[in-house]
Amino acid sequence: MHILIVEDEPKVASFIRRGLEAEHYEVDVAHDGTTGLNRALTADFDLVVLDVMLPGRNGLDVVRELRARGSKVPILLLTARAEVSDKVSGLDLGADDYLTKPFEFAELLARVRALLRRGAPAAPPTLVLADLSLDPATRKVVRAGQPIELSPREYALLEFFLRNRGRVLSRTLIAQHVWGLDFDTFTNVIDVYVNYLRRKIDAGFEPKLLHTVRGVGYVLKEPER
Amino acid sequence: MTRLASLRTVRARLTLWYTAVFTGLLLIFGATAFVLLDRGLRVTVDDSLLSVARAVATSSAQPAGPNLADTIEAMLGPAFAERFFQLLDPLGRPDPRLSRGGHTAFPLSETALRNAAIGTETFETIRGPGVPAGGVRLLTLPVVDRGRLVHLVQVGMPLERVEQARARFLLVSATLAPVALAFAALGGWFLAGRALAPVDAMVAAARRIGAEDLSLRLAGPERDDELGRLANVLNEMLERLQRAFTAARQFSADAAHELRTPLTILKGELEVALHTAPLAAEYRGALESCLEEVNRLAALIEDLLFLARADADAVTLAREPVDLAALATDAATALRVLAERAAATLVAHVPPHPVIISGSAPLLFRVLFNVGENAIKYGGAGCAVDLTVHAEADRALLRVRDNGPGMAAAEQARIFDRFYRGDPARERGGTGLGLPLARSIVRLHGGDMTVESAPGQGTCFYVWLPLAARRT
Repeated sequence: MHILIVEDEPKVASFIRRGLEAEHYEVDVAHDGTTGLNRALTADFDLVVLDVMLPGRNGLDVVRELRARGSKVPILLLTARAEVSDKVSGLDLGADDYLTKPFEFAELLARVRALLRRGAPAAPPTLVLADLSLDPATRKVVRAGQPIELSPREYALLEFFLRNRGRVLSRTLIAQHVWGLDFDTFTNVIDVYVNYLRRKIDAGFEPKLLHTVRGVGYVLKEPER
Repeated sequence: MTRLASLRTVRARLTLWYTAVFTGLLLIFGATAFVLLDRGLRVTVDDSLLSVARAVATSSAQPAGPNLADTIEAMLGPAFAERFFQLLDPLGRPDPRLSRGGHTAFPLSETALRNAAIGTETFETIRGPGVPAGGVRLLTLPVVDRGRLVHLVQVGMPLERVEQARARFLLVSATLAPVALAFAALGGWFLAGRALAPVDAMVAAARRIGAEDLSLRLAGPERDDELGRLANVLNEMLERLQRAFTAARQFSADAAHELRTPLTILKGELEVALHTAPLAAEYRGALESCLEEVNRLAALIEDLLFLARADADAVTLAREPVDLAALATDAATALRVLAERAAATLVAHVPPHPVIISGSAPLLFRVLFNVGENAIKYGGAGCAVDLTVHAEADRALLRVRDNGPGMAAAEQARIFDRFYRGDPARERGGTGLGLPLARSIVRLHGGDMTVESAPGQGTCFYVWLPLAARRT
């Protein structure tokens, strides 16, 4: 998988490149809009990670130009502004997703994976891990054949864990995804919700699926044998 | 209390001063008039006595013999002659030519006798028993013929009429003075009011400007008088205030914006390092701790940026129908976690039916959470927090009440200030942005947020939000 990063801030470009390379992606970097556009048009990339605020040609210009020339490469916009208008115009112009700086790196990886999966066969509708299953269509959760009752937040939390099974999720990331917010004191509450959820899906069942990663967050996975 | 308070207005004080000065003037004027009147009356009496006495003296000097009594009686009238007239010989004995009983109407004083010896007349005022009320003015006039004292003429006049005139003057003054004072006070009040009306208008306008829109200016600086100059000075001050305000807003917006790039790098580097590099436990711990603080900083900056954008009216709400009742239940569950930790209790009273608001669910959740968190934090250990959602005709009311220590008015005025924290001695936690942010969000939704509290009475926050228009 070949990814192009168009980002004028060298340090930002650098950590994204290293992070993506660690996930075994092949990465190219362009530092301004014009170079980025030329590279995207001449080489065959699977994904473009594009900053909006760029010298020369800004990110929105690049998106417009790429789409005007018929390129169908997935584009992930990075914006320093949370303004809705920026996001909307970016998506209207043909970008596929956006992320606001500063972002969780895990979030960037998740978006990248999701965009690269496009065109691949759709994920099975029911999310399954070991003997735990969640059906987004009916909102039913079952462990070892036993139905489990969850509150709406617990359900959202479990769905987020199941969609990211095997990955360590930080409290900040959970707060952003499940509650749509992230602020200092709120992250404390996450621990308690995770415990509620753990009581319902893990208590009385083996093996345990929801694990605490000290100092980082939580992970939902089958224990290695 | 209200009377004392009303004396604090310039208008009342001006009226008071005006009335006091007027009272003083009235007193001086009245006293002078009285003194002049009194002196005038006495001079008149003395003049009359003198002319009567001289006339009598002239008559008595003629050799009229026994006809003298008749002549004088014809001149002065019988009643007067009998009571207030005497003709005495040089030793003070009644003159034999007035043979009518020879009574002495008034005693002849030593002073009068001494004066008579050197040919000088004497005026005296006599009071006491046997004298008509108000006293009598008495003139003793010596009649000298070729250097020899022939006899004394004594003429008296009752002072009753004079007394009456003085009493009438005092009565009229005493009646009219309060009336005049009342008119003066009324006039003063009216004049002060008229003079101060433009100032009142200016105060109202300045207050409106402070509360609503700093870009407005006071009317009237074109007038070339004291008020015009006042308006001018105030407008200049507003100008500076607005500039400072805009600069502060712009600064927080710029600062937050500029801070995002370094934060993105910090956060990214830390996460990538933790994610990819094989690290010794102590390095990992240090980096994780750094990441935690970076996240805290990022959240704080987002809040600041949000507030700055809200100030500048630059926030576009992504509105959707939100059930405030469900959201409150949800927030209460999260808040109970905090309450348990603080050994406090939280009870939620939420209607069983949906309370639909058009707005942003995450932002409204944050309002509920922040207000609840604040109540738990400042209510103190063991406090009971009550969270109530209530739907009215066209608005939803959220009430969060605690039975904690409450706060004084001075503190209430500051709790919506950024970075303000109630008790500096209290443990660190939160950024001091919770309540300002909550109110900002509420106002973005077209609602408002107020607080009610008193020391020892607990604190109650009210948040009201307009209900979504019902679709038919």
